[in-house]
Amino acid sequence: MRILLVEDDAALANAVLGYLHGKQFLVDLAADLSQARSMVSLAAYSAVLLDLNLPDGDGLQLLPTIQAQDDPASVIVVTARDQVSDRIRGLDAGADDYLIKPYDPEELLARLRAVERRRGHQTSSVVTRGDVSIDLTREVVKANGFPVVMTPKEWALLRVLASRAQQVHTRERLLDALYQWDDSSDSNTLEVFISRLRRKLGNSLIQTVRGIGYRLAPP
Amino acid sequence: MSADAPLQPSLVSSLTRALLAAVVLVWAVGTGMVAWYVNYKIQRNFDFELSESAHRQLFASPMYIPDPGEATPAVMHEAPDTVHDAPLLLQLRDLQGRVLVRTEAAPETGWTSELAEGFSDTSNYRIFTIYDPAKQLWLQLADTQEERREASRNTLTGLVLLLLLILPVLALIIRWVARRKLRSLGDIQEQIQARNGSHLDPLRTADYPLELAQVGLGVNLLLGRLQEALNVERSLAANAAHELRTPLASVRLRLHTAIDQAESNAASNVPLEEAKAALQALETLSHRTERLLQLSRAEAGDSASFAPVDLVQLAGTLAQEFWQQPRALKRLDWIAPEGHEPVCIQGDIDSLAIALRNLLDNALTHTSAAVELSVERWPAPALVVRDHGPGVPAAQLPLILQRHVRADSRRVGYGLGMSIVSSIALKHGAQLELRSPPADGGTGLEVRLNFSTSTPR
Repeated sequence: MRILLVEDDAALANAVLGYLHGKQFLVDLAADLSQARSMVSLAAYSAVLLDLNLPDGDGLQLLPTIQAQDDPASVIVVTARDQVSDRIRGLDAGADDYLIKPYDPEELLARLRAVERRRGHQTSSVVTRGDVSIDLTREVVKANGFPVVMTPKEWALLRVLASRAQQVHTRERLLDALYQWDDSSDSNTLEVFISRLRRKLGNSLIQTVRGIGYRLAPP
Repeated sequence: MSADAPLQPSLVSSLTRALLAAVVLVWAVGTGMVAWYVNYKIQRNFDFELSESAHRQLFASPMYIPDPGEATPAVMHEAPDTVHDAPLLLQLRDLQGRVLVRTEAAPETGWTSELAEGFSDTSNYRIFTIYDPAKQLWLQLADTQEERREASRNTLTGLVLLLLLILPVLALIIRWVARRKLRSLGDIQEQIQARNGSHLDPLRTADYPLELAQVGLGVNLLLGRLQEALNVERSLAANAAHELRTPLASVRLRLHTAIDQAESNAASNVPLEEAKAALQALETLSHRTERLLQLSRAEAGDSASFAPVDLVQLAGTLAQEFWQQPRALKRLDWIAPEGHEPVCIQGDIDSLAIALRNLLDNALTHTSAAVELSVERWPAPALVVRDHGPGVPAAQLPLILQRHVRADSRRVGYGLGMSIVSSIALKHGAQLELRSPPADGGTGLEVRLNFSTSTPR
């Protein structure tokens, strides 16, 4: 996997290069925005580690160039700015992920592995029901076009429901999905989470099949 | 002025009162002196008139003198007088002091036993006496003392009445003038009140009287220094983050690389234990730096930059941030309010994020149980972080909010974090509420940021 690192601080850049080389990643370095622009179109990068505070501008200005590529790289914004407003701005601009300096290198690794995994699924699988779209590959749920934040448990449940969308899922199977997050889940927990999903995504999305379990409403 | 301090009288009314009292005092003394002088003149006039009339009566006009043997005293009839309302008091006396002629209003016996030229007083009369050597007769003319006293009284009453009439008018005029002249004081006060963290422009002092202009200049000097200090604080809060985090990130990565190499290659000469200890120390340093940066930012911010903040978006974003940490992935739950509409308040999204991050961090660090993050819409917007841990004894709840005070050894590090939350809440006019056990039952600690629906300060 080839990575472009956009970072103007030489000491940090060298440290990242050293670390990622040690983890068998192929990393190129761009020290400013203009260098990064020309490099993005030269090689097919899987991921871009993007610093925001660059000498010739805001790192987010690079996003249009990246998105114009045939197979756009996943963008992980890496910055010392920890303001949530910056993050919302970055994610709105199309960044995939966000890391705040000084980050845990393991965390950086985990994000890069997630990018690798996502890119391994060549076909994107998006399930759409009415206003709700569930992107199983990128793990993004949108209602009316706006992203909806799902908790890990909600997502575990929704993933089961959406991955075999035509099928009725038994309560046991759905409870199993919850168990990986919480050992203490009992049968009431399932109802709680189903009702939470309905509250977030609309009542008609999940249908109750009496005596058996639940399923996603047919398209 | 604090709410419980007694209300001080206004400068205008105390100035009016003081000036009025001074004017009345001076006026009263002046009136007394005028009254004395006028009275003196009145008495002189009365005396002058008395002697004038006496001379006219005795020498200028022929007088009726009774023959010896006629009954005395004879009563003299005076011509009706329309100018003077007081009757003429006259006695014509011979060398022995017997009263030969008198007017109707004068007594039958002589006013004085001794006869000498000039003025003399009895208890009821002031008498003027002259002697005609040709006729060998004495003439006495008198005014009643009462008549003279009344004249003095009338003059004094007039003066006092005048003062009493003018006094209210004077009070109004003084008050009006004081108000007018002190208007610039209110103006400068308004100018000072309009200043805040984001508006520290110098005061306008051009149109003020000298003394106020000097006060204004002093305040301007102070404002200048304050602005400078605030600028330093703000730029420190904004830049320190970037300046500190980048080298920290770099050291961290290098240590990780060194540890990785040492672990994968037994022949490496990296002292593994030392490197791990250094990494641990670095993490503590990062954590402390982070808290201090947050504190400086929390206290540097002001409400001037407030904008609408959607609590649902804020909480959702932070939940996602925390789910990236393994410790939060299974334990942190995010419960959004019913409906898709945002829950908006006026605030600074970044300070609120710092507050919420601290609350979540505390809950995840100090308990090992499930943690729920939720946003409430009714009855008022609220951010709620609730853990299902053992909770905090009621006596220790207030201590949690104090800086550098730790609830107990199991909740290490609460102090600074909670005081950051507390100052951010204060800035947003939000009420920071701690409940243990939470209202919904069960164990644990519930920390709520209750926002008022009105605009915060």
